[in-house]
Amino acid sequence: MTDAERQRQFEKEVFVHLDALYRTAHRLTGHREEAEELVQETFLRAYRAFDRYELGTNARAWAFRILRNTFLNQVERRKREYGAVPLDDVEPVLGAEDPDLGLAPDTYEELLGRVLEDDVRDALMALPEAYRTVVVLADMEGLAYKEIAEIVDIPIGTVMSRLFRGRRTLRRDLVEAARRHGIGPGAARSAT
Amino acid sequence: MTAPDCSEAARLITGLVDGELGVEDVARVRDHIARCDDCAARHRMEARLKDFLRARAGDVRAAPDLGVRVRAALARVAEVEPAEAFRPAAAVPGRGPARTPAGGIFGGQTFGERVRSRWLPLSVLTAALVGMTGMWITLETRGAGGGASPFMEALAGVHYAATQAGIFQVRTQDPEELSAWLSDHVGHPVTVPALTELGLTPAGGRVVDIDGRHLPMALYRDYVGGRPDLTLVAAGHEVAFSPEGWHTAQEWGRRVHHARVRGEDMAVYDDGQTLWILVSTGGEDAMTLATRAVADAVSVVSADLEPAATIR
Repeated sequence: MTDAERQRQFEKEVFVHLDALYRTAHRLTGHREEAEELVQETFLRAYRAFDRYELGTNARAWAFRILRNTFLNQVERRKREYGAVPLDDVEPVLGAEDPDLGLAPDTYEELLGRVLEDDVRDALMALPEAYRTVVVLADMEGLAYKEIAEIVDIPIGTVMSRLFRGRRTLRRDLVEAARRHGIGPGAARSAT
Repeated sequence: MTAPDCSEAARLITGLVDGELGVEDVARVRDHIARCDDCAARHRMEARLKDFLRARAGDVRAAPDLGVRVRAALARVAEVEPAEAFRPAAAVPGRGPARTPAGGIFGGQTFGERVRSRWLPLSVLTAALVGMTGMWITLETRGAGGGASPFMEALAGVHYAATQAGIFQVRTQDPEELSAWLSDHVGHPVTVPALTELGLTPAGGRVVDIDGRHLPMALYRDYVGGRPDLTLVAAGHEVAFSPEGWHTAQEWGRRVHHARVRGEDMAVYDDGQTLWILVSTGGEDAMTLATRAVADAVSVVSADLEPAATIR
């Protein structure tokens, strides 16, 4: 394969995922600048490693995997520099109780309608990375379990259980945020 | 077909919402939902949340020029000329162009020929190793000593001293200026790579004494802007990697490898940001210890010690 062909191949297989990779990078980092940096680094790495990529296999999963590994490396670095608590050590509080189950459908709908972009960002960033990644990939990017399992390198059953817990935490946080935005507390809590 | 209880149903609901359940599980969980108000609510809310998140996904969008910027960055890396990138050995008086062994990753071409004929930055990175007149040794503070060898201990000591105070003897972001300064102060030609495509910028350097040798040390800052990385450029070695050895180390940056370079055992580790190379002068046992020390220092999950990957 000539260099030109290789570059065309890279365009066709990897570059087409730029928007999806950016969205995911933004959701993982919570910041535009960091996301751009992450995407740039991801493409540089993918470009370097393109020799290793087997044509015809899942280029999207491959690229997302590089994105996530790059992200984790950056997180690792910051942890070392600032001594932050490793994200995975912070287990979300996920009791058996599901306090919002009694919400009337209309109330739930109204609350979701009040959720702001900043609330989505904050709620996602509050999730430990292990949960945030699978929720973003499954719900925002619409990827299948099999592909997520490949990207994150976990069994399919783990994808499902992380989604289960991640979504429950996310829903709780989003509902709380929406309530803070001024819907009547009585209405919001009525059915619990 | 056993009926699921609520806690099992709650988990199955996740799979149901995602359309990932088998026929039998779909029937089981639907049957349960039909008879359980709580689980019906769980299902409704989870499905609605998924729709909600999908609808909000588009709230963040890449800047219109991001694609242009990324392409430009790729083009810069792909088309970079070796003279601009790393000052190949040929540029240093008294030395010929660096050649790798026949059958090496550069197939016997010179560094320059190869870089010009290939656009993969992987080559550029590797070429930096091959083309420059030395090897790099990058160390982390934690666990780097490990008692692996006098060389290792000396390195750890130097690192400690360097991080305490007076880390720089010269400060410059210009790799050529740094090369010139180091060459003057160690008495042999030194080429400091720019490492731009690794996200690193030269910050300065100093000369260190290890094992009775004066070694040039180049320090880099990463783009996160944190502490400097410590890089030693030791003269007198040419480094080559077999394609397998390189790629395995490169792949996802989670492995430590054993390489032999001109009779010296080395641990090679790539954490995806920086290529870490550790030299041990103490033979196989020290090599194993050194590898473990690297593994500890950089928090590697699994360190695989492979058969010698490089033949020289």
